[in-house]
Amino acid sequence: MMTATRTIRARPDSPGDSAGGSPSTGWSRRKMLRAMGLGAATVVVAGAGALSYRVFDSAVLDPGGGDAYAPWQSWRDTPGPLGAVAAAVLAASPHNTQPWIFGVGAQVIDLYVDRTRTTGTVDPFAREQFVGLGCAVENLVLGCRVRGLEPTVTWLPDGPDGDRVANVALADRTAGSNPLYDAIGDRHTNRGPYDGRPVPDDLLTSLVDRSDLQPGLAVHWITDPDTRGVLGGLLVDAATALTADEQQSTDGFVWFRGSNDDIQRYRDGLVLDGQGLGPLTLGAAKLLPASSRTAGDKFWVDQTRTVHTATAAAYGVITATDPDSRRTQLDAGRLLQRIHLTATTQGVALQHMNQITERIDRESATGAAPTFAPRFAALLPGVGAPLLTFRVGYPVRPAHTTPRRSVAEVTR
Amino acid sequence: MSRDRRHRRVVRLGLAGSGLGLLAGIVQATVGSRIPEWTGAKASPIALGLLTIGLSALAGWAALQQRDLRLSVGGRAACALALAGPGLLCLSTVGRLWYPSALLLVVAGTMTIDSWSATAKMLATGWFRVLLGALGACQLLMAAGAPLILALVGAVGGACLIAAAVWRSASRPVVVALLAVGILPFAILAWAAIVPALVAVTAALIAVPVLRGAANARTVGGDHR
Repeated sequence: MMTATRTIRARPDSPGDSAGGSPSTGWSRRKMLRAMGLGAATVVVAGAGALSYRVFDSAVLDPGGGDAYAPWQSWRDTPGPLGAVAAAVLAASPHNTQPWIFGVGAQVIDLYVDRTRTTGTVDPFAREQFVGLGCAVENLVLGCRVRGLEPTVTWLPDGPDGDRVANVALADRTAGSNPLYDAIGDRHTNRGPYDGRPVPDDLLTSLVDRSDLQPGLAVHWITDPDTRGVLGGLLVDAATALTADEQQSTDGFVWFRGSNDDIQRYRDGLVLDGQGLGPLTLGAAKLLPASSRTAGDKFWVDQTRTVHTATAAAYGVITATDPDSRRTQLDAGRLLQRIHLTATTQGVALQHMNQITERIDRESATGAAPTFAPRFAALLPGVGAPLLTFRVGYPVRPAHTTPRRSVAEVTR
Repeated sequence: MSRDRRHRRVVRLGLAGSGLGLLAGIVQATVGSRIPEWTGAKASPIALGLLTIGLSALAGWAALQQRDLRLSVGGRAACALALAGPGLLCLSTVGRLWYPSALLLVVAGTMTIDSWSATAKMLATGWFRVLLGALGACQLLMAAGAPLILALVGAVGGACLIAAAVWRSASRPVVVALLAVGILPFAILAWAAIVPALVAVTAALIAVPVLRGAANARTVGGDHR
């Protein structure tokens, strides 16, 4: 092995070419290369150290870990009414705001709306808020029956403007099983790509169970490519308009939890894990600093265009003849939750996509000329007003859990 | 102050800091959520309490090593890190409860060093080993935030990288085995997080001069202890 080193010496006739040192310093090429290698390696290791801390701090290796996600692990464990509430807190809600408070007694559960947990101008008439409460009641009823409690729901016992949304009286019954109850822990909004396979019409029809619900609610499936394309375009336009509306954009962004600290502290809201990203993209996104509102808006519009609408196998639209009625909104929530739970049992993914109705309500609230209502009405003529929209399909990858407040945090 | 006297003080300071740290860790793990103003209002007080207990024990062990007057320059540097490292790190695990321990351990860690110039020279000649050890620490840090199985794999891997860095008398096959266990399993299992793979590639590149240096040292019959 050659061990001699070559020494680079500055020539008198090339003063600018000192090559890292004068003859007197005796810097050899080997020394210089070694110093450069050490310096570069030190920089890389320092960077790796900073990124490793980011991995630790952002819980990149433990998605769905920590107390914020614990309700997904323990929801079956508690018996009695509190156990039913543990199932209820896993229900869907707009922007994962979880706008619920439960009053729990031995033979009764009262459900109250928490009006502070709102998406503001995104949902100016609190339609989605009450739909979310209806979703929670559906899970609550399922949770009661499996625990040997027969629930009798009295809706809006203090009137449509009261905070008490439902009174659930409990009587003894034989405990039983229910596949929809079993699906509660697996039901997640899937914002990732779907694989393009069509969902058979008879399967779509079987997702809808309208028993115990108000007349006037209907579910319309949009499966043919042309109509899907039109609705997809409308969804992209609505997403674009919503992000261009600074107040709506701001009110929605308030619910985005960009750091693991915030997720564990607030235990609600939208999180990166719930965006349906691929594993590498998700890993990289968590390493980067939390995105700004405008960057998040751009990402959402892009995803709506290139993933959500591009890969939807079908859309479902829930319409109502009386969409302003709180009772109708609560029943629509129950229906939506049933559809999602049944879809989960069939391996069908679902994503809520309510930007069109959010723009319709925004235009109505501000007195602006209606642009989205006529377009939606033209798409589904004579079927009542649209209340909720979602897409379905077979997922490319499973959805992640999202944070939930514990039973203790939402009961009084 | 004589060296012996200074080392005895390091032992006392280190053990005091470690003892208080153990107590702080136990408090965090048991009643941490009830006194958030003292424990930093952490989201996972139990896990952080246990981590604090572990790091305090490490600092206590490093303090006890000061009784060995034959400790090498490298050994002293490692002990300084094992004292001052937890002293600073645990400021983020148990809040105000750690302040006394932080002060005691950082002072003890500083007093551990006999000769700063000899330590700097030692670090400079073995800088690739220092970097390899740092990558092992990176892996330990990532493992601390992982689910159980991945945490165990990462902890073993990180410890192996550190062992490969500090165990100068180890034979080449042993070092290669330590590097393989340190680099591969964690990177394979946690590839989607990107950084474990980055750490693995960096460790593999840094391992080359470390292995070459070890071979050269053996050729000249050197044990750099």
